Amino acid sequence: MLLRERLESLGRASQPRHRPAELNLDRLAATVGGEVRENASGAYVVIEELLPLPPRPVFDGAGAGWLAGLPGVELAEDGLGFFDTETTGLSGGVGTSFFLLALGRRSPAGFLLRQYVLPDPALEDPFLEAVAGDLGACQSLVSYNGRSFDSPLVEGRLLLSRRPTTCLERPHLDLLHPVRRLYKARLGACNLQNVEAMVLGRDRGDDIPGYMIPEMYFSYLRTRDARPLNPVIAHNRQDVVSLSLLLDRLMISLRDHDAAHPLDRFGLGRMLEAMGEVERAAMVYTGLWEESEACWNGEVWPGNWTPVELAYVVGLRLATLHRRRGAIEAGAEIARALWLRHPQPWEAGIMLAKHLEHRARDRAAALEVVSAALEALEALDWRAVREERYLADLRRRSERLRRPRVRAA
Amino acid sequence: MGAVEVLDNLLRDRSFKAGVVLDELIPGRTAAYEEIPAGVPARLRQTLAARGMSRLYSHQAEAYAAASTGRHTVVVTPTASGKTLAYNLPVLSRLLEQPHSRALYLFPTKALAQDQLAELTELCDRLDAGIRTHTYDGDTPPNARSAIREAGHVVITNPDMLHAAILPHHTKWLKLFQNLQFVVIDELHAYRGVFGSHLGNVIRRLHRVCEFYGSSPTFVMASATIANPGELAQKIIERDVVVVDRNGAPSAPRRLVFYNPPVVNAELGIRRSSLLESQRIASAFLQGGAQTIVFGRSRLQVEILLSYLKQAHGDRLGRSGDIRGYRGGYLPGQRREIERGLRSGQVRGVVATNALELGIDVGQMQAAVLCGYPGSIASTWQQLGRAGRRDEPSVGVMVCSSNPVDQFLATHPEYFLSSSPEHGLVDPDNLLVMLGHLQASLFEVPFPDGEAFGTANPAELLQLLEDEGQAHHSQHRWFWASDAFPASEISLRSVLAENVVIIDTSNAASAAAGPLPNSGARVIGEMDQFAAQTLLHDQAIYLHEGQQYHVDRLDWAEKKAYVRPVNVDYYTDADRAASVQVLESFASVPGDLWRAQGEVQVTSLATIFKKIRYYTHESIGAGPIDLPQVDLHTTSYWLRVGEELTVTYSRLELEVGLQGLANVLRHTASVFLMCDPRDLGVAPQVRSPQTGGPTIFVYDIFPGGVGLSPRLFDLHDRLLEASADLVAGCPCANGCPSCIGAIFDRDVDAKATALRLARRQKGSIRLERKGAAAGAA
Repeated sequence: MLLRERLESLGRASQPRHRPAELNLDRLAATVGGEVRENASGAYVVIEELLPLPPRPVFDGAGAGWLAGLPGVELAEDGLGFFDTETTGLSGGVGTSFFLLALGRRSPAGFLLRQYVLPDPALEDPFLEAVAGDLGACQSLVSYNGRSFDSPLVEGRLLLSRRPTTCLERPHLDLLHPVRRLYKARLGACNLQNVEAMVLGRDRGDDIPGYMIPEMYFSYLRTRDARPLNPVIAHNRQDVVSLSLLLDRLMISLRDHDAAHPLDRFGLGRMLEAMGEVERAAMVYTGLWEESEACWNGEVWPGNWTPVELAYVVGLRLATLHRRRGAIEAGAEIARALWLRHPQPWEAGIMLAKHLEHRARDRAAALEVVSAALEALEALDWRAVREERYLADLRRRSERLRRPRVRAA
Repeated sequence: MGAVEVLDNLLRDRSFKAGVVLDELIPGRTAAYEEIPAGVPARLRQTLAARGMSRLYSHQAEAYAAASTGRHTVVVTPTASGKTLAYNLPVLSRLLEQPHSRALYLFPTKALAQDQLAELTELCDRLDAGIRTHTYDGDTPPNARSAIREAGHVVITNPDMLHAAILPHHTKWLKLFQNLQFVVIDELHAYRGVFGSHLGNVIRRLHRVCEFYGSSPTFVMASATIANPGELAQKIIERDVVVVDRNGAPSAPRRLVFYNPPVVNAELGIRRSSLLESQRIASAFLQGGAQTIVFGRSRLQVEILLSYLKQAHGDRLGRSGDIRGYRGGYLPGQRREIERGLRSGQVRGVVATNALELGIDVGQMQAAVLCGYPGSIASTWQQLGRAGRRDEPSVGVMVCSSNPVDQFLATHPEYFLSSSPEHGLVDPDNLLVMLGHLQASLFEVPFPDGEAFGTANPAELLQLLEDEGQAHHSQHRWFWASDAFPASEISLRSVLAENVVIIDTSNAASAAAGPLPNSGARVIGEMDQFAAQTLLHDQAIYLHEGQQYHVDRLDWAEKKAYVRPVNVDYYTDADRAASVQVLESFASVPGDLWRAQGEVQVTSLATIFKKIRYYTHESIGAGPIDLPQVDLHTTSYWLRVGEELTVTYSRLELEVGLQGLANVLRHTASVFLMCDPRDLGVAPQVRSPQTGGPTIFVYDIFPGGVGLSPRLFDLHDRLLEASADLVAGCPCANGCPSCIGAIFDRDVDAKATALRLARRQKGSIRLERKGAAAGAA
């Protein structure tokens, strides 16, 4: 019995049959618009392009270092390596490899973009040597989700080829993280395509969907017809070009606090807070706070946020920052405004009560706020389950305020 | 009162004494010591001395000598004989000498891995040499994982994790694989049948990954006593193996008693409940003050035994904590507490499932009571081994249930006492199993042309994968070429093919009623299509980890079985109408009962099922099964009645006799193969078109077979002898569920006929009343 029949009789479904064709590097290079080059390990295919760099802000090396999670490190603009890979699968594991890597560098001449194409798994060695050499020449790396995806993947392939992984051991600015901070409130999904459209205002046109990419490469391997790779190469190129634009956009936001949408400015404030830039964060929040009183009424926003909610949360952040900066009264005033204005102002109530009790030394007023909050919260009945921590806090507070004050003798 | 006195008291009771079918004093053994070998580092020597070990048992020294010089070793020893030290000693010695080296430990379950971790960590703390040991399993927190990968000297895990989480990510485990010096596989005998066949392939993959990193670890294995530990080890690791089977540990004398409850219905062969009898006997030991362990076969049995014993003894002793349960599902903290209580003597009795059977240390009891035969002789000795203190004789009592295998041992304890008849069998070359792992291995490391996969040549399979678009051949090497993650498609506990998924809907129902979010329907397992027809049909009672589930619906088109937990006093047994076609005969030996083995195609149709009450085995209901016919391609052993013999039987006699003998064969075969009787299928045929005569097929129920039937071919004579013994020894009148099954026909004595067929081999058959008539015809 033939093996195939045997397997079928054992209950394994039959699969379609394919026939491999011959590898031809020159034809591959011609089809994708690249060239064949040689290094010590053999031949590889690279597509090289010099793109004009659009007008951009003055590069803030310290800001870039901070975005990379390395405060105090200054990154040089001409040392940045913007990179992105296309892979044979998303499941990870050593059987997943990358067959395309784009690396973009800024230079006085423009944006120098190289895309390395793996002609065949058997030619991974020269491919990796070329990739590692180029990555290693960069001072730092810029990616989108590269810290958890691309970089470990490249590392795994290098290890499998018994190569050093030093080319990856350098500052890595993964833009996904600051983008999430800044834009998640407005965008919800922060995949690069969405960010491009909603933040950079760029339209990809008919871009190849990510899930189809592995099959395009396998199709090439089977048929040696590289045309299916072209949409993948275009997609990969676009990713790296967008990375560079996105970094500029982030820098402008950091510098000018000029994000257009209130939700983006809220994200900026949180990011500045996380940077320890309390004064600048307070400035952003103050702007939002003042604006909220005037002009958000009736606006409908994308995502889960409403103007009322944002105003409330901005107010809370601002009140907290004011208190930390010693602007006690300003903080209290905002807490009071929130308490009066918001439909479910438990946190603001607690903040205000704390102020009344400990700063203003007005226990009666504090008790009044606590009692009102408690009453409203308890009236919510089972819906208060989500507010449990406030409930507990308010009850404790109320109990203490009702107890006659015992003075130390 | 000691356990022996309690037993002697019990034996004064005439009705008890009447049920005792074996009362054997197994003499104690003095220890065989050897000096700690010179190669063991001084630091380890001192640590052992501080724990009171200044010498080794001979088998420990032997294992050390073999393993530390790089020979693959399997240690075969009973419970509580210090087998863990047998492998820890060479491993720790090496780690002390070469702090960069690494070891990988495999245990079949997470609980055992946890236990080993506790022991090894304690030893390493005393050594104070910075040796780090970790478990790596599904419970390991993600933030601890990278530290374990980088710095764990000893990684303790299970084959499933090695298969799905470690090997496919081997670059993350660079340090482990580059420096891997030892692989320890404990409880080797647990890896048989499908599980063992998978493990053999996981080890093939491990060999390839190690080779990639330039390491070549020594395998140290430990097995319970079975007939073929060396063969099993060799088949799994595919390397030559040194067998260390002379046990040097001392043991106190032990009284071993088999108790067969009295027959209460001779016609049907019904005996008094083994559960009630176990309770009675365990109570006597507890009352006499003997620390006692009771083993039940399922969670359900454990719960019943526990509540009864607590009731009976809670009042008298006034403390309910004296008797504890111990089974899978208890939290580690709870388990440690019970174990401490047992060691200190505060816990007087413990009721356990076989969660305790495998090497977990609870100290030594005075008496062990086994409610029913645990399914294999190796397990029985492990459970009995829980009783046995060094300074006083202990007692082990096995209470036989009315299952055929129990009854076989009750009537023929010599099978139990003589050298083990049990064979651990695996077939890593099962095509479906191997193909799955070949994909996983290709994912892990490319195959150069001509490289073997274990002992198998994968060229043809790789070509097939390329045809299917999963592999890519280029420049004399094969590469993985698919976006799939092949390891995730293989479960080590079943054969690849389209399986039926078993879904517990109990939580989903409560989710619909309550405020909880996500639906709680939960996949609890998978089963191959063939077995599913008789085990997962509508209204079947399906047993999973000792829990009973009722099958509400089997959606055959979607291959999904929807089940919910229940608590009932019956099980279901389905009939299968099977026809067998021989595809290829590998061997055959003529005779009065021909024997043969080869590949067969079984076409099977599940017909009806019966509900059968536990203990009494009475049928309490039945129903039809409405499922399409399925085909199974597998390996089979078959026996054919020779022509001279055939002519002496009437057709009716043959029909009934073959059916009866087939039922018996399934059970006796399961004893020799150490498998569940349900892992085997039987098909009796009065006139098989394939063999041209009356034939019984006994086949592997897993697609492709996992090595069971070829061994039956070898065991032919012993198998028939044991089957004849079982039938002859059964006290029932005309056959009962404990021997040939419930075959009732007024005109033929099914029991006598099956017995005559089975004995023909010895030539002792004499035609009797009915036979004479048929013979004359």
